[in-house]
Amino acid sequence: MGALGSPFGPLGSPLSPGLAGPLTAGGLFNGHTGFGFNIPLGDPGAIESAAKSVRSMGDGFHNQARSIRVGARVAVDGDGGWKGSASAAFADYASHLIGVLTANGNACHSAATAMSQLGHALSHAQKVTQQALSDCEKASTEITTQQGLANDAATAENTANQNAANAVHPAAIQAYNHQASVAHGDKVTAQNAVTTAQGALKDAEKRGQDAYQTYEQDAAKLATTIGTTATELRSPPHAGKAAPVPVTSSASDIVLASMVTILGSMGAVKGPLVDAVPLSERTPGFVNALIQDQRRLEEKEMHGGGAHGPYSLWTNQFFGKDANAVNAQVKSGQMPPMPSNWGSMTGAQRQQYLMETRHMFPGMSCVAGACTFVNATGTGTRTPPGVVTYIINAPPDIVKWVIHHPGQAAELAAAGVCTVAIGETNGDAICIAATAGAYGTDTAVNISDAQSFGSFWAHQGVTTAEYVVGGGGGLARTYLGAAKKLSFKAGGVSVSVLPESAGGKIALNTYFNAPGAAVTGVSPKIDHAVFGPEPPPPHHHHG
Amino acid sequence: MASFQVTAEELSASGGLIATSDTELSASASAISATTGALAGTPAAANYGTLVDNIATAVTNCQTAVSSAGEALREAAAAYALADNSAARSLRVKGH
Repeated sequence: MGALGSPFGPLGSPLSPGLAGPLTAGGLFNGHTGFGFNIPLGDPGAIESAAKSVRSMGDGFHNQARSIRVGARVAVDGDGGWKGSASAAFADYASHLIGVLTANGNACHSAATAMSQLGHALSHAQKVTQQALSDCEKASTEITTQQGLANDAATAENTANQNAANAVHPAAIQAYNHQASVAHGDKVTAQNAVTTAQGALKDAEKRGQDAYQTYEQDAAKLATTIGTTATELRSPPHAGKAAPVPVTSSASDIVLASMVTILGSMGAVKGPLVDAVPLSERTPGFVNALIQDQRRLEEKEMHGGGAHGPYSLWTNQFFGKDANAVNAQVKSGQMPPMPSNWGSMTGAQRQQYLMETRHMFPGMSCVAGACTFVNATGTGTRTPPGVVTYIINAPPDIVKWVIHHPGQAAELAAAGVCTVAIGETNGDAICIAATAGAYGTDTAVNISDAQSFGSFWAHQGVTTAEYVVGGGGGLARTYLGAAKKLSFKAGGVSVSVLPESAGGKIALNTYFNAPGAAVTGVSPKIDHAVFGPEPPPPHHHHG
Repeated sequence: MASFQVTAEELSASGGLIATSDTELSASASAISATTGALAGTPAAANYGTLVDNIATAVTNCQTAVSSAGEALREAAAAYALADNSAARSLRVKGH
C-alpha cells in the first residue's frame, strides 16, 4: 500500500487526469508516484512527429532508388547493356545502390512503425497511470479522513464508557452508554470506510503497476526494434568511388580521344576539341572518352599544390582587393576558384595551384612561373607587354607577395608597375613592365606556354578550346615550324612555342617520332579535322 | 549516322530526377536531425540516438553515390548530345 499523503499534492496538480502534458526526465517528479509504479516519461506527440520524419526519410530513400532505377534503365537502353559495356557497369553500380537505398528505406519504415507504436503505448500508459495515481490519491485521502473519524469515534466511545462507569445516577449512566454506543457505531462505520478505501487504493495501485510494467515490456521490445533497424542502415559499397559513365568507349574511341587530348595540351587544336575529329567519328564513345580525359586532367591539376575543395568565389581578404571582377570571371570559367584551404596553403602551394590550373582557366595571365589575374582586374587595353626584362635573383619576399596577393599584383601590373615571378623552367625571376595597361592571355608570353586547351569541362566539355598554333601529325613543323611561327621574339629573347616541360616534350616526341599502330590509325582522322577535306602535306620530320 | 536508342534529354532528365530526389533526401535528413531528443525519457532514447546518427551517415554516403550516378548520367547526356549535334550537322553537310 502506498504511503498516505503522497508527494504529488492534491488533485488538480500537473499529474492529475485531464492535464496530461509531456513528462520528461527533467520533470519535477521523474515519474515516481510513491504508489509502487511510475508514470512513464516521454512526449508521445514528439515521438509521433519524429516517427513521421523517419517515415519520410524512408520514402526519400525509396524515391532515390526509383530515380536511380529509371536512370539505369535509360542508360542501358542507350548503350545496349551488353556484358562488358559501360552501361552494364553503370547498371551494376546502380543495382547495388538501389539495393542499399531500398534496404535503408525499409529500415526507416520499420523504425517509424516501432516509434509510432512506442508513442501509442506511452500515451496509453500515461493515461492509465495518471488515472491510477489520481485514484490512489483519492483513496489515500479517504483513508486518512476515515481513520481520523474512526479515531475520534473511538476516543468518544472510550470517554463515554468511562463517564458511564463513573456516573452514579442511572439516567446519566444511560445517557453515557448511549453516547458510547453512537460513538462505537461511528467508529465501525469509519473503520469500514477505511477498509473500503484501502481496497480502492490497492486496486488503483495494481492498475498503475500493471500499466507501467506492460509499457516497460512493450517499450523495451520496441527499443530493441529501433536499435536493430539502426544497425540495418547501410552505405553503398562503392561510396566515394565515381559511378561509371554509361557510355561505352571503344579502344579506337579512347585512342582517338587521347590523341586529341595531347594535341589540345599542345595548343594544337583550334576551336572546340571535339571538332578536331571528323563529324562521322564523333560518337558518344569518343566524346565520353574525351570528356573523361579532360576531367582527369582537370582533377589532377585542381589538386596541384595540395589545394582542395570545396572551391568558392574569392574573398576580398585573400584576393587582396575587391574580388568582384575576378569572381565574375570565375563564374564564367575564365579564372580559377578559391580553394577552401587557400588561407593555409603555403606560397609555393598557391603558386603551384595557379600554375597547374592555368590551362583550364584562360583568363589568367601566366608568365613562366607565376600567374596574375590582370585580365579580371586591369583597366587598360589588351596589348602585348612592351618590355620583357630578365632580372636575376629577385627578392623572394616580392615573389611571395605577388603569389599571395594575385589581385593587387595584377592591378600593379596593369598600372605599369613591375610584377615579379619565378621562372618555371630556369629558375630566373622575370620582371614584366606592362607599359600600356593590362596585358592579356593572347600575348606572346602566354603563347610560350603552348599548352592551353581552355576550360574544357567547366564549359560542358567541349566549348572553349584554344586556337591552332600547331597541327596534326607533322604539321607543326612542316607548316608552322617552317614559317617560323613556332617561336617569337620578346624583349630581344627568342622563345619557342614548343612545350618546355618534360611531359610536353615526351608527348610531342611520342606523337611525332614514334607513332604506334594506334596513333597511325587515328592520325588521319585528326588531320582531316584540323585541315579540312584537303589531304595534309607530306611529313618531313623525324625528330 | 549513328542511331541512338536514347536521347540526351532522357539521360539529362534522369539526372535531374535524381537531383530532385536528392533534395528530398536532404530535407528529410535535416528534419530528422532536429528530432534527436524526441524519445527522451523512454527506454528507446539511446537506440533512437544511434538511429539518427546512422541515418545521417547513410544519407551522406548514399548522397555521394547518388550524386555520382547523376553526374555519370549527365556526362553521358553530354556525350550523346554532342554526338547527336555532330550527327545533325553531318546530315546538313551531306544535304549540301
